[in-house]
Amino acid sequence: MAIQSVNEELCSGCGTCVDNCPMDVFRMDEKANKAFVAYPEDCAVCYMCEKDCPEGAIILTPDAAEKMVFPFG
Amino acid sequence: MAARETETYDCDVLVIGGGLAGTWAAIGAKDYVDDVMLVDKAKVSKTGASTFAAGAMLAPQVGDDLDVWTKEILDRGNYVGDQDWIEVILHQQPKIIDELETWGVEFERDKQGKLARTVGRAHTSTQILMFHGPQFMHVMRKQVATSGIPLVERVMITDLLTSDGQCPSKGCIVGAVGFDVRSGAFQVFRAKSVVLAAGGVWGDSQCARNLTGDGIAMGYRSGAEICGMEFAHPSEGWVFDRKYKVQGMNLWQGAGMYLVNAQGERFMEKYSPVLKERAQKAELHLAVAKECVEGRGPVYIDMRHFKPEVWDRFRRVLPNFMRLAEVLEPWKRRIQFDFGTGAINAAPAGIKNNIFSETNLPGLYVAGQVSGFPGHGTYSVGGFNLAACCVGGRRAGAHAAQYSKTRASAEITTDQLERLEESVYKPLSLKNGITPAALNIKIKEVAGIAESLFRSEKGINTILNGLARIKAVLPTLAARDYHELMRANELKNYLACLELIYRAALERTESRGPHCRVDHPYRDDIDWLKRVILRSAGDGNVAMRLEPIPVYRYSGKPEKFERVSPAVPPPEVK
Repeated sequence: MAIQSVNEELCSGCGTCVDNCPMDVFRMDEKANKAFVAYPEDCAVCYMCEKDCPEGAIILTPDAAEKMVFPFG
Repeated sequence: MAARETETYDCDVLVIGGGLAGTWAAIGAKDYVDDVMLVDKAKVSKTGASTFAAGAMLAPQVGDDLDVWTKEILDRGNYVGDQDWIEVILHQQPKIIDELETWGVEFERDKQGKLARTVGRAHTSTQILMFHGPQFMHVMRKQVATSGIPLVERVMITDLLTSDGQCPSKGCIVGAVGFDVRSGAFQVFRAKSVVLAAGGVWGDSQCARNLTGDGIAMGYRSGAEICGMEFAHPSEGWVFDRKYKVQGMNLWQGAGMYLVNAQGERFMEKYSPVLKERAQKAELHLAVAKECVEGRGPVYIDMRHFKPEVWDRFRRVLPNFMRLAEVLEPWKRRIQFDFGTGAINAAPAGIKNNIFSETNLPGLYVAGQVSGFPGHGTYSVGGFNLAACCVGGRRAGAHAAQYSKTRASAEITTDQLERLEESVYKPLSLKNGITPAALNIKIKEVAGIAESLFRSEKGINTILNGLARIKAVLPTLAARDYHELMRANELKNYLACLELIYRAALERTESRGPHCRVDHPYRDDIDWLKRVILRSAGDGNVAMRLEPIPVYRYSGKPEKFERVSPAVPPPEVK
C-alpha cells in the first residue's frame, strides 16, 4: 500500500525525499546515511518522491495508504 | 527533560501557508514593506492544494465580455457569490497571467503558439488555461526566493496571537505561534499583520492529506467570522476502483468523460441536460450518490473515447494522474468511480472577508481557501479557485503590508504564549491516549455517512452528536513524537471545521449547490439569499447570525425570486 520502502542498495543518502515529502513520511538514518520510511501510514501517494529520487530508489504502489470510508454501496 | 527551545521572529507581515495564495500574498506584501516572512508546515512547491491542482485556471483575456462572465459565475455559484470579488478577479487576472508567463509557468499553447483556452467544469462562456501541474508551484517558490522573502518551513502554526491575549479576541492580531515538526522547537512570530493562507479542509482526499483546515480553525478560535461552511462539499476524494485516489477531474470533464451507471445509462443527461458530465461539482457528486443510493450503482467513468492527443496533453498537464493511468489503463476499460467522504473540499467555506481581504479582526487578512473564495458561491466554474488564489493572494499581501505600516509594533502577552505552548504540546505528555490515526478513522466513520450528503435535521444532529463524542475524546489524544504532534494538532483543527460545517448546515433550511436538505428539497430564493455567519462565543459555544446578500445591486440574479427544484433532487429510498 502506498509508500513501501527506500531501496537501501540504491539510496545514496542525498536526502531529497526527506526534504520534499509534503506529508513528512521520510527520515534519514544518520549512521547508515540512508533514507527510510518512518511514517508509512501518512503517505498521500503523490509520487513526488518517486519522481524526484535521483537513484530511482523509491518503492511505492498507487493504492491509498489509509482506510477509506464510502457513504454508499 | 531539558527546557524546550524557543525561536522568535519579528516581521511586518507574516504569511501562513505557502501554496499559490500564500506565495502570491508574500510577493504582494513585499511590494510595500521589506520585512515579510512565509511559514509552511511542509515545503513550499510540494505542499498545498495548488501543487495538486488539476492544471486548470480561469483566464479572462482582453476582449472577453466580462459582464457575461460575471453573470455565468454568479449563476453557476447559485447566486451566493460576491459580485464585487468576481469583478476584481476578472479584471486583475489577465495581468497576473502575463506575470506568470514572464516568470516561467508553462501553459498549454495552440498551433499558433498562443495560450490555449478550453472549457472544463461548468463553463459555457467562461474559459480556462491549462498549466503544467507541479511545475507551477516550483516557479512560485523561485519567485518568492528571488524577491528575498525568507521561508520558514516544516513549522506548523497552531494559533494566532492577539493584542488582548484572548481567544476569541476583541483586539487585533499581532502574530502567531507554532512548532518545528522535526526539532520540536516552539516558534513565536511577532507580526504587525498576518495573512492566513493555510486553508483547505480536505481531510484525506487526493494528494493533499495535510489540508486540515488549520487556517479556518485558528481564525475561528481567535474570533474571526466564518461563512459558507454549509457549502463545503462533503466529498472530494475521487476514487477509482475503490482504492486509488485521483485528481484532474476538471480536465477529464473538459475532454468529454462519460459517467455511466450499472445499467449503462449516461445519467448526467437527466440531471444536467445541457452541460451533462461537465456540470458543476456539486451536481456531479450528488448525482453519483443518488444513482448509488437508488440502486443503480456502481457508477463507472469512461474515457475510452479520448483521442491520443488528449492523453498526450494529460501527460504534460496532469503528470500525477498519468502515473496512475499507466497502471489502470483507462483508455482500455471503464473504471468504477466513487468518492470517499469525511474528506471535504471546503472551497466555498472560510473566513469572511471584503474585497480588501480584511476580516473582522484588525491585522488579520485571508487568502486562498481560508478566504472561502467569496466570488465562488457554492462552487461556480472550474479554475475559479486558482484565479482567486492569485488575485486574492496578491491583494491580501498588499493590504496587510499597508496596514502594517500604520502599526508601530506588535505587543504580545506572555500569559497567552504560555497557555498556547502548553496546549500545543499536551498530546506529547500522554502515553496511553488515542493515536491520531485511530481518531482520524473515528472522525471518518461519523462524518462519512450518507447523511453528510443527503442532509436532514435528524441526520445532521446524528453527525453533530458523533462529533461531540469525538470532541470529548480530544483531551486524551496522544503523540509519540513531533511528527505525530503535527497530526494531532491537525485533527483538532479538522474536527473544529467539521463541527462548523454541520452547525451551518442545520441552520440553512433549503437546498443549494452541494448543500442538499432532504427535508427542504428546494432552492429558496425568497428567504435564503443570505449567508450563515459563525463566530466563537468562547467556552466552546458557536454564535450565529444571518446576513443578506446584496443581490439587488448585482447584474446577475435569479430570473424570479421563488422556490426552485434543485438539479439533483434528493434520492427516493425504497
